[in-house]
Formats: sequence, structure tokens, C-alpha cells
Amino acid sequence: MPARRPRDPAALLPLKQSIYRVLLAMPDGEALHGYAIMQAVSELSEGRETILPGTLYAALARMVDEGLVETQDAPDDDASGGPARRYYRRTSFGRDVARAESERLRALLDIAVARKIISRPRK
Amino acid sequence: MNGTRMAARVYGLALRAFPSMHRAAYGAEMIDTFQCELTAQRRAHGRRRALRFTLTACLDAISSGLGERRRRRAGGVFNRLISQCRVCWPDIKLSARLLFKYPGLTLVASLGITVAVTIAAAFFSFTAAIDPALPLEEGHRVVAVENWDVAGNNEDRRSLHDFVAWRQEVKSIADIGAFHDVQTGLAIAGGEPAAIEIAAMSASGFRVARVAPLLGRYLVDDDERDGAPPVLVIGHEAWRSRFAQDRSVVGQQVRVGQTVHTIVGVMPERFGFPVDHQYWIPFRPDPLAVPRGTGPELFVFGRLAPGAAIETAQAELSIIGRRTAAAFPATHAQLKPQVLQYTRPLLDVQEGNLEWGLLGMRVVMSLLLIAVAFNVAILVYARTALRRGEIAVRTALGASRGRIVTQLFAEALVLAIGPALVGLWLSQAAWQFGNELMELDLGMDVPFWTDYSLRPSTALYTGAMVVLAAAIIGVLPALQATRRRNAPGIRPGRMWTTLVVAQVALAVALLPAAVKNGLNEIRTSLTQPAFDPDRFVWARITTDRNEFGDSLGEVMRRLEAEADVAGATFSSGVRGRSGRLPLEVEGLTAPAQSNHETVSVGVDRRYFDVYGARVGAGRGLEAQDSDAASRAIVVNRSFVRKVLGGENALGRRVRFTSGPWYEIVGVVDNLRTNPIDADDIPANVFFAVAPRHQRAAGVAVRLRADASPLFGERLRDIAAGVDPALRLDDLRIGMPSVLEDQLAVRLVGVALSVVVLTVFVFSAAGVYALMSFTVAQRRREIGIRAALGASPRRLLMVISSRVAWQLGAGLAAGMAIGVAIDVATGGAAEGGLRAIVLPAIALTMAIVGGLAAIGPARRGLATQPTDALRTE
Repeated sequence: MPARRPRDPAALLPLKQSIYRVLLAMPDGEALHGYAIMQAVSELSEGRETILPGTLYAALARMVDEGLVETQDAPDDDASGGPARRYYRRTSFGRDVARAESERLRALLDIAVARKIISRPRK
Repeated sequence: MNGTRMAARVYGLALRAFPSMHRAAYGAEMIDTFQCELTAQRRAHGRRRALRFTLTACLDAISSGLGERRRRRAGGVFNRLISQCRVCWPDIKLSARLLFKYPGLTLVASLGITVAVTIAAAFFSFTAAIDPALPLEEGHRVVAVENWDVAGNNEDRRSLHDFVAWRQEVKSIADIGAFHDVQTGLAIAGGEPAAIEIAAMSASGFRVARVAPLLGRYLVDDDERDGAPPVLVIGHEAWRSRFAQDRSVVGQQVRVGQTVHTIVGVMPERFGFPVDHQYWIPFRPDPLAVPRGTGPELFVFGRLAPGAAIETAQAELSIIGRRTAAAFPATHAQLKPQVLQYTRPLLDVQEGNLEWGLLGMRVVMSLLLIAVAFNVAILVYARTALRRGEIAVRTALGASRGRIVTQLFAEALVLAIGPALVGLWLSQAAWQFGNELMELDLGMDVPFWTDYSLRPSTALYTGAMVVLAAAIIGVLPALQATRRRNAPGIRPGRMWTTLVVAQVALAVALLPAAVKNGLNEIRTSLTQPAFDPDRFVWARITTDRNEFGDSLGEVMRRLEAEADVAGATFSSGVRGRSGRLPLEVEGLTAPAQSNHETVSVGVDRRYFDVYGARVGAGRGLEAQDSDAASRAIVVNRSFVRKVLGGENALGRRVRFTSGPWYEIVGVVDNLRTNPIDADDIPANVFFAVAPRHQRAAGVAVRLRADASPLFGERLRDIAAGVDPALRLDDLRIGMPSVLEDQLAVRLVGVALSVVVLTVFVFSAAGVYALMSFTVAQRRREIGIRAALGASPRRLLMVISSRVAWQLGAGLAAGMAIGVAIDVATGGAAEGGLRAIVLPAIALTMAIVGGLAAIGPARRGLATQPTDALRTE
């Protein structure tokens, strides 16, 4: 059977909030373990919002299934001392999906500004 | 245990909300992450904050875990499959276009499916209608009661005394009543009498039916008492046809037989209880008038009392039956009363046999449609193989295997649904035709509970079979065509090869029997009586007594004295000597019955004279031949030809099973003739019987040319004048037609012949399809061979080699099966011409297969090498 055509990021929209926050928190090209992702998500809101492990790993499981993140073994310099950790890296498809969701939210934001629900944020 | 570890344990319990697969993949990580955050919370905010974090984390784990379970269920294999396999409107449109793009396949498939659905749906309707609940209020609680003769393995309906006793004693069945048929004449307003059939029925019959009259009233108990004025109730059809729906008909007086009756009521449309009756008079049982064990043949019925079941009623009647047998052993020692569903005795089948028979019929007819579906699947598979390019493009555009299979299933469904609807309509039309044939043309009673409208169960059954057929036609070829190991091409696997061979073998094996059956039907339909049937009045005469005594002889004498009568005779069955019996002919090594139909019948000595049958050799039957010691018989010309091979019959001896030897004293002309083969009618043996010791007989009266067409009434009057215990049934002009004889069995035979011919057509189509497939598959190879200089003969061998061996294998297997069938049936299947018929059929099939292969072969030979290579 011939190779499949790449999937459309828009097919996954709208994203669950937890998935979107994880995608935003994960840096390009860098793999993080679960706790690090949890801390990165907290830093997005400067500590005001956190993501609990249950929600995080439910989101990660789904993201792995959908191809938004990929897993890899812990690097050699992981000195946590605990059980072997799995690291997660955002894929290019995950980045595309995060972009598509951001565009969608921006469009919504423009509507809210147009209707004067909120004022346009200062640049 | 420290707090962190305790909390981790609690959190681990909360993680059980997640599916086991998730826990196996992420459980350890989640606990580790939880512990890290818990430690951080305790260090930063203290123990209370840590405790709150533990609590919220556990609640979050439970909530997320349940959500993850829901997600996995929604995204499971089955649900993904369902979402991929939804049939879309574009699938339907494409399928409709393909019907026109491949007209040959559409035509052949439509023909096969229409035939199969027509037969399957017709038989399903028949099996559903044959044994339904009565269309009356609580119809399932209406039952029949009869005595079963365990010694004779037959019902005994001469139960007048038992009926009176049951009506008085039985508590579990209410409104016990009975009826018997009376054939008489109905004269309206002094007009000529018309022959009708009346139900002499207990008034309780109307209470059992629970149907209110349209006009007036129905029979009541007072109508049954001695001295009550004669009354008549008529049905809606009779009211419409004979009384012009006159609403003042109630109170009108009519003559029924010799008695004036007053019409007291009209029943509504579609009321025909007890069977298919339009006239009702009171039944007045008089057990004192006849000895126990004699009297009219009654059909006893009733309605189960509230709270009673058939089993309860059966138990009660069994007790009564044992008591009666002990009190009257001479007449009732072998009789056991039984309670049955109302329709069963009228179907004349045993209780257990009916269910199995109906189930077997439904299974066989369903298998028929499945067999046709496999035949169509072969053709569709060949077409699917040619569409592999299209399938590859769809896959490249993102269609999953399930999606493609769904599309092909939709195509098969669209292909099948049109012919299925046509088949369903044809089955109902055939049912309606059969009803009119039986009721109007043949005068056969069709019970009132028989419903010819389309039943929801029939439509549901047909729909289910169509979906199954579509799955076979569409899904199997699609699965084969989308297998991964098919790339880059598709080859017919072993299953398809086997199906083609089996199809050809089936056609060769069954076609001779189908053709023979079809020719027999044509031959039978051309059989005519060798006398003028319009000059005859025929009736079945029975007696309420144990035997006729002098009554039948007196009836014959009075008939002979009538001015309108040119001759009168009768025929009668004698146990052990009548019917289709094995016959041994002295001097012949094999039993005569093995190859020929031999019908034996007891007749009056005037039988041949009355029918105008010439005695061609020897003599006819004489008075002394009816003596018990006589061993004289007469045979017909068919017997001489078929059984004796044309040899001299006079003086030859025959015997029935192990009985005494009889001597042939005469040869008479056949009573029926056939323009195709004058002697192709059953071989008959006639022996003389005396009327005295018979209990039932068929009376035939030949009338003079100027006789009154209403002589039937005179016959009835004569019989009633000789003995009131004589009863006339089936009064008609002429003999029973050949068409009536085993009508249902012959219809099944015709249906099977049509099916086999359809298989024959499919075989040819299958060969054509496979040849087309082969040419398409090997187009590149053919082009290369042609470019390298292969001769057309060599190319033809390449193209047709595979199909040729499949066809040859099918023909060989078919001939072997045909021989086996012929041997098993003692030569009946091939009519004794096995050595000629089977090779002829096989040769015909080979020629048809060859002709079917010509088109694709020519296309293959016309392949241009450059075109073939460019295509690839």
C-alpha cells in the first residue's frame, strides 16, 4: 500500500487546554521528562496555574497517540537517581498543531476585541 | 512508613482509575512525578499544603483516569472501524454509476439475485403462512381436538359420540364445537340451484371466533335443538356475489337442498371460520342414530378456558380418553384424544415434523441465495482486480482498508438491492397467482387465515439476506484485493479457483436433472384425458357406516336407470393393493417399481365401458372378478410398454409385495394421452372390487350429450334417497385435472430447475470473468511475448491455459458427481441415459465456456506490445 499523506493539524482542533499548555511549554528541539514539563507549564503562568500529574500524563498519552510528542529514553546525564525516566520531545507536527490552535485562538481574540469585550493588548 | 511513601501509595490507588494499559506505560512515572511535586510542596509550603496537594492530585488522577478510559473506548479499534466504515452518499452515487459501466455484470448478477430472492422470499412467506396464529381475537388459544388411532397411525374423525362427551365433560376447553362439510345446492327465489359447500357447524363456533355479524345474527344454541326452524348464515362473499349486497337479505328464504332455510345473518368480510366457508347451518349431533365409531367425519374445535394451557387440556383429555377406552374397548382401545393448535390437523402433518420441515425449508432456501451470492462474488472479484489502480489512488489519498472495503460493500449493496426488491415483488405476485390458481381455477379451499400480503417478517428476512449477500459479494473480494501481500498486483487465490471449479461442476452435475424435470413438466402439462371430460360428473362418496353394504350398489343401479346417464361406475382403494406400490412381475429379475410408476386401483366392472377405454387384448373385468378368490387383473398399454418391455401381457403374473399372484387377463387403452409420447403416462393395474365392503369410492357418471348441466344435484338426491348416511364431496364436472396432481411438489421442482439454469448461466459468466481477469493481469506479459514474436496460437495457450484447466477440472468433477447422483437414485436422475446425457451436458458446458472465453481471448490477441508496456 502506498505511503499516507501527512495529517492536517486542523483535524485535531480545538485542542484540550491541557494539551495546548503542554505544547506551549515544551521548547523546540529539547526533550523534557514529565516533572520538568509540569514545572514548565507552571512557569507559563508564573506559578498561577499548575497542571497535576493525572491531567499531565493523560494529556501526554493522548499526545503520543496523536503524534504531537515523541518519547525517548533518558539521556546519559540524567542524575535523578529514581526510576528510569521517559523524556518527551515535541514533534514538528505538534508544533504545527500548536500553531493552528494559536491561530484559532487569535481569531477568537480578534472577535472579542472587535466586539469590545476586551481591549486590544498593548504591544 | 513516612508521609511521602504513604501519600504515594494512596496516589497509586487513585491511579487505578486509569486503564491498565495506561498504568503499565505511565504508572511509575506518574507516581515519581507526584512524589517530586509533593516533596516540593512540603518544602515550600508545609505539610498542610502537601496534604491538600495529595488530595487534589488523587481527585485529578481519578477524574483524568476516567476520562482516559472514555477516550480509549471512543478511539478503540471497533469504534474507529465503525467511523471509517460509514457508507457515504458518494459511495452510493459511485455504485450506481458502476451499474451502468459494467452492464454485463449488472445483468447477470441482477438475474441471479432476482431468481434467488424470489424463491427464498416466496418459500419464507409460505412457511410463515402455513402455520400462523389464527387472525382472531386471542387466536392462539383456539385449538382442535381429535382422536388419534395409534394402531393405524392416523387421525380418526368419526368421533360423534366422543364430541358429545367432550362437550359435556371437558373443563379446560370452552365452547367445544364441531363441523362437517355438506355439499348441496342453493336455490334463491325459485331459481336454479347452484352447487355450494356448507359448514354444518355448532353454534359455539361463532363464539369461538368472536367475530360479530355484519347483519342480523349468527347461529345460537337454540338453532341446534330438534324442531328448530332451519336457518342459514351467509358470508360476505356469498352476500356480495349471490345477493348483490342486499341489506334486506336477513329474513329471506332460500332452498338448501330440499329444505327451505331462512337467512338470519351475514358475516363480515374475510370471515371464513372454520376453514374457508361462506354458508353455515346448525350442526345437530344425534349419537343415538349411529353406532359408536361411525358417523360423519367431524372436525372438533374449542377455545382454551381462561388460565388453561394446551398441556392442561391434553392432560384432561388423556384421562377422559383412558376412561372411554376402558368402557368401550372394541372401538376406542387404540384411540387417544389429542389437543392441537387449530391449524395443525388441517395441514395434515405431525407436530414435530412440521417445525423441522419449515426450518429445513428456510435453511435450504437461504443457502440458495448464499450460493448465488458466491457466484456473483466471483464476477465482482474479477472486476475488483481490474480496478486495482483506482484502489491504489484511493489509498494514496488517505483511505484506509476499512474505507475501501466499505465502499465495495456499498457497491455490492446497490447491486443487490434493486433485484432484491424485484424478487420480493415477484414472490408476492407468485403467491397471489398461486392463490388465484388454487381458489378460482382449481376450486381448492384456501383457509381464511392465509394472508398473502407482504409480512414484516418476510421483508426483514429478505433485507437480512440481501445484506449478507452484499457482504459476500462486496466484502470478500475487497478483502482479497486489499491484502498487503497483493502488491503490486492481485492474483486469484485458491478460494476463487475452487469456487469457479465448483460452480462449473455443480452446473454439469445438476443440469441433466433440471432439464429432465423441466421436460417432464412440459410433458405432463400436455397430458389430456382420452375421453370428453365435460360429459362426466365426478364425486367422492363416503358412508357414515363402516361400509357401503348395498347402498353404493343401489346408487349405481338408480344412476343407470336415469335418462340423462349413459353410464356410471366407481373406483375405490383397497389397502395393500392400491396406490403407487412395489410390484413384482414373474419372470423379471428386478422389481418393476424401481424404474416405473405403477398405479394400482380397484374399479367397477363397468369402468372401461363408461370411460370408453377399448380392451385391446384379452378381456375386461367381469362380475366374478370381484370375488375375494379372484386373481384376475387388467393392465393398460403403458404397463405393457414400460414394465413388460412390449412383450405379451396376457397370462403374465404379478403380485403386490408378498401377496398372492395375480394374472393379467386383459390389456386396455390408456385413459390419458400425450401428444409428445402417447404412452408416457403411468402404468396402471386394475382389479375388480365389489361395492359392498368399501367405505369410500370415487363415482364417475357419463352423461348423454343432451343431459342437464345440473345433473350433480340429481346425483346428490339419488344418494340421499338411497341412504341418508351417504355423503358426497368434491362434486365436479370432469376428472381432477393433471395440474392439481402434487401441485406443490411440482412447483418446487420447477423452482429448482430455474435455479440450476441460473447456475449454468453463472458458470458461463464466471468463465468469461476469469478470462477477462487473466487477460488484464497478463497484459504486459502478452505484450512482451508478442514483441518477441510469439505466434497467436502460443499467445492463446498462454491466455487460456489457467481457465482451461479450471474448466476441465469442473467438468470432470461435475461428471463424477452426476454419475454418483444417478447411481444413488437408481438411474432416475438421468433417466437411465447416464452414458449419453452427462457427456452431452459436459460437452455443452465446455462449448459454452469456450464461447464465453472468445471475447477476452480476442482482446488478448489484439494487445499491442507498445500499448501493453506503456500502460505499465
